[in-house]
Amino acid sequence: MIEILARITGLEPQLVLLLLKDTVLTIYMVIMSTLFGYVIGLPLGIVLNVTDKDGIAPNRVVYRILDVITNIMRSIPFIILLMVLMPFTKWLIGKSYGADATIVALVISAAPYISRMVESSLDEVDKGVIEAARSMGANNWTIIFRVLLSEAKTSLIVGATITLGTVIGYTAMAGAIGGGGLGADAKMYGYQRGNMLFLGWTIVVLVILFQIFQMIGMKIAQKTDHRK
Amino acid sequence: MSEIEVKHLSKTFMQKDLKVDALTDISLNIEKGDIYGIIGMSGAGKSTLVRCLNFLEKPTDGQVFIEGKELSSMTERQLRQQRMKIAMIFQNFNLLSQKNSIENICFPMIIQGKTKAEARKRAKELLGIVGLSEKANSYPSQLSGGQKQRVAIARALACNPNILLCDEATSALDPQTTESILNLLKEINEKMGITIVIITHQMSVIQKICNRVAIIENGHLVENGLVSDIFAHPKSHAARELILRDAHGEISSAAAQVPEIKEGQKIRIVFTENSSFEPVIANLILQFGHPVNILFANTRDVGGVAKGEMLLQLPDDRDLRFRMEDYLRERGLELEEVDD
Repeated sequence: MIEILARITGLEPQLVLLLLKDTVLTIYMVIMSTLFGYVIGLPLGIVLNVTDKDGIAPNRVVYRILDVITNIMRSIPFIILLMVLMPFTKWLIGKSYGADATIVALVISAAPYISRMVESSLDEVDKGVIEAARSMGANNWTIIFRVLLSEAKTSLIVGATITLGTVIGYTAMAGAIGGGGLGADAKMYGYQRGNMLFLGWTIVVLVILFQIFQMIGMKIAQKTDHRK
Repeated sequence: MSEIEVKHLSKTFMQKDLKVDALTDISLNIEKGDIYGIIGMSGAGKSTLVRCLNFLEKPTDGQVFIEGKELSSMTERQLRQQRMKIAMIFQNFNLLSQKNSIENICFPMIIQGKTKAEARKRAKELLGIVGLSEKANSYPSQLSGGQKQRVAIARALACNPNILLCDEATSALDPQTTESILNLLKEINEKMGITIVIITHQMSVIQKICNRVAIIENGHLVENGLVSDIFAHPKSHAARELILRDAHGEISSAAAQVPEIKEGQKIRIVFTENSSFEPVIANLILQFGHPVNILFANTRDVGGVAKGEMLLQLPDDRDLRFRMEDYLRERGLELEEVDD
């Protein structure tokens, strides 16, 4: 198997093995980061939407605080955030390099991005439908879970797909300064050793990964869309 | 006790630093079993008024009583409980786009805490009542406007409301669909005894099914009472305009070919049942030996009673005109002068 791939790609067998192993690692990092990103970003996005002045429970103070924090976090370039976070990461998981350390940085970087995505997805929900729910005696929790999230389902899934794509790019970046995965390989075995063939193949793998995530996400989004 | 009682209700919005009076000192009573129309031009404040009836908008001043209970004295929780008994339908239907018909109808029952099985059973019944049993699994995007409004009506009936508020419920529909939706509302009112409040800008809707009407102009209640009374002798300018607008729409196309006689006072006559036996206009012409110009004539169904309506142009001669008017009044016709 490895030998066949080695013949096809023109790479040494141990590099093929490395590529395979780190593809799996990259997928792991991307999925875990996005998942945990949503654990933080989804509630944050909901609160942003709900407390906005046109939201169902406007609260200027809460909105402004979260708005400012989100903006600050989003304006720090990822590569810098990664370095700044190193002490925190070390404290949290015991080391500041490797795949798990990268996940910590990715989550913190993706969460505010996700919260904005969620906020704007929920914004698209027809205000009339929210009013109808209120006229039926729905409370805010019911409106959030049964109207906002349910009506925005398709848009949220599209948002998650875009996020996955972005996070793939970020893992590669993290790889370059001590994270694991394809980014680290590309730097160490491709760029530093001048192995252009290997560098090329990491790109191919990343592109394929991106396409697969994109395709699956869009398919699911289409399946859940009953608006048209 | 009135089903709905509104006392001195006012609503002011703040737009930037500008105070906008949407509603000023509105008082009205809606009795159990009424189909109560609230009519006005767009921007008159009628949509705000109907939202004050279930407190989706809180009035700035005044009180709203539902079956004797004042809404502003209620806690949020009690208010939500109360809203379950005041259903509402909308111009744009406001169905959940990601849920099919059955799930949409189940929605208020789920909010109320019914089990899924219970809700589905009742939802199927309701779909039958509104005549859409075969569309149970269709999503709103697969339904026509009329069908969407039927689903919305079924959803509104789900929690056995005492009151149904209709906010321009037929304004997005074509005339035929409007007719069928109005018939459905009438049926609901008669069979289930639900009090219905209808917000509209179309006099035809009021005539078709309402028994009482309130006319709103610039946030003020200018006239209210029985539809038949207001149709026969509208007192306010706004009422006259709303009634005549319907008629004028029809005239302008007919009058296009006929050169209009630019003389004489126009009057509007309303025939009630007992005045239609005598050929009044023919006799009038014979009596005075002078022709009058019939600009428009129509029969309208006002709350199930046929009423004739006619726009006449009388001769320019003041004396002759007054005598003609007296002649018509003597024969029990209601008439009023119209200035375009």
